[in-house]
Amino acid sequence: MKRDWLALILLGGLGMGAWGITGEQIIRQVDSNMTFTTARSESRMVIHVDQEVREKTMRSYSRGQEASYSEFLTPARDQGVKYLKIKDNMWMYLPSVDKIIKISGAMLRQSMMGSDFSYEDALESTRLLEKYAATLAGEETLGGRVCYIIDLTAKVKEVTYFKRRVWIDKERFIPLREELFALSGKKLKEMTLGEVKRFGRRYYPTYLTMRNLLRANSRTELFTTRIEFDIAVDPKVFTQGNLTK
Amino acid sequence: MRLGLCLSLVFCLLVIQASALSLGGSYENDLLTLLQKDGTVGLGDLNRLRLKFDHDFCDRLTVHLEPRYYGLLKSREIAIAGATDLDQLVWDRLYAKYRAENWSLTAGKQRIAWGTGSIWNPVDIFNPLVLSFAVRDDDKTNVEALRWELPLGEAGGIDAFVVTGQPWAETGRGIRVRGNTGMFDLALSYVDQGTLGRQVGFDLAGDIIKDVGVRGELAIKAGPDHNGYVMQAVAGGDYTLENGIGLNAEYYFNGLGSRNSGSYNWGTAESVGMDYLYLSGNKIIDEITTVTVSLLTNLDDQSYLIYPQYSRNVGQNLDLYVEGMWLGGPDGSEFVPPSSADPLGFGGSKMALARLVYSF
Repeated sequence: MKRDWLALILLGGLGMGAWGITGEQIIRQVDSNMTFTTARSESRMVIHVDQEVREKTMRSYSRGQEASYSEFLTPARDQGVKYLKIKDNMWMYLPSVDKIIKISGAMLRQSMMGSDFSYEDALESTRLLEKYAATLAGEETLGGRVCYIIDLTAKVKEVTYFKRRVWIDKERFIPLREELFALSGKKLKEMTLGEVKRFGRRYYPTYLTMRNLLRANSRTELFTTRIEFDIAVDPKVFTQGNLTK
Repeated sequence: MRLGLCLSLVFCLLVIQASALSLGGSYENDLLTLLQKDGTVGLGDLNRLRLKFDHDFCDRLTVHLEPRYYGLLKSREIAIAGATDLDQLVWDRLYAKYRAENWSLTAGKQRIAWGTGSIWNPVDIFNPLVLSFAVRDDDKTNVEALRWELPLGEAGGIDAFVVTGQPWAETGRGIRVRGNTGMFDLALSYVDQGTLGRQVGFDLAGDIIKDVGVRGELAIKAGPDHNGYVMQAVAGGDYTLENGIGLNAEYYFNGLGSRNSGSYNWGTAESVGMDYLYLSGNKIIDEITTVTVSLLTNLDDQSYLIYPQYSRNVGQNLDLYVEGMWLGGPDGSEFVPPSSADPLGFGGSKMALARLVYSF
């Protein structure tokens, strides 16, 4: 699932800046660095609301950007809840009623498992490349890393985030920060990535935090505690049949 | 040999291998106050303990056991949605599931939930009234059946069942074929209940335009109690505003009902009114707090049910719900029925409930 959030920044566009590289070229470099055929990961989600903290753990599988499967392992109240994403479709399996529910319409904008992420955040894919124009807005240093700043502006109305601003590590081509805006210009969410680790020839952020600015004093951290890339994953993992297994 | 006996033997084997069992469940306490139309006040304290055992005998065979214990302290007779068997142990689910390479077979007491409606599910013969805002998922009706599931592709499949323990002529058997078109999940179903009738169903869920979800169900029923064929249909939609308020609406046409309250058949909840509307709005205050207000109205007699709910996850595994329910409308209407149809005097009442649920 994390792979899909990162896919938010894999957006093409034009606009040559004074840096001799276009927004589209930067995005392609990020894409090249972050793309994998399959992945298996274990993650810990920590939700902060004022002084309250909730933790959830999950196991996920991904196949490129088109399919992913996640199963919540803890806490007890969420154990056995599963998600399946195939292209632009997403389903949730609720063990208490033994039913698969398609996540669509209003649910897409709602909080996913009580976190600052919406279902829509998890569902977005590179199809959004067709929906945004990218321009290279400048450079800035974040945590000692020099970053390109890319502005992404929606070309169509049917998007939740009309504008995005993304900071991309200039050397490693890893996204380190993203801000998401509504059509009105109001900033809706902030995402920060970090703990970049090397996996073979690939750099990958293993820490992510999201703040939904419409809600006071809340943020969600996502720690990738284990991840393997380009491994053999049974295609049946990415089927509805696996949800009810 | 009855299926239940077989499963009891399986349970004994499970006990022997208790160390390999996975155990979960929940404990729930509901404190409720009921103010009836005649001014009578009722108090109740409902305790529910639900255990869930799962055991994988091997990669292919899983046994699931789900007993539930109800205990109710009450000042007088109180009707509670979803609590029909009080002060006793109920086996909600008790099944074995075998998974072959390309299909699975589930035998025993299980939940078969078809359809896409959030309040009404006419294609689901076991739970046609979902009332998702008031009845917890765990309290849905279960059924002893054999169920065969065949996944087809990534998002399709065939689901067939036969209800066990009844004479074949009266037993329910059904099949549902589902698929995905990209925008929509679609399903076609057929249920034969023998002498009780037959039903053809269709349901869908998806988006027509960005952020507007739609869902619908259509059931055509034929049976000895119907004059020819009757239709039940649900059409619903939902949308979330930029400020996070979620809106949900559902219309239900019930061909088994009547538009004249004088002609209501009070015997079954499915045969009262003909036109219903459900509206709700919810706001996620923060990641652990949600407020929802629901309105369910019988359009034919103008009676209504208002259901506000506040929910908060007060601990890692502890949830608090504070709910109210207000039934109103003209005398003799569905939610304020005549006393002959409402022996407990529940119609026209107001209820307040505080619920704590601890999951483990």
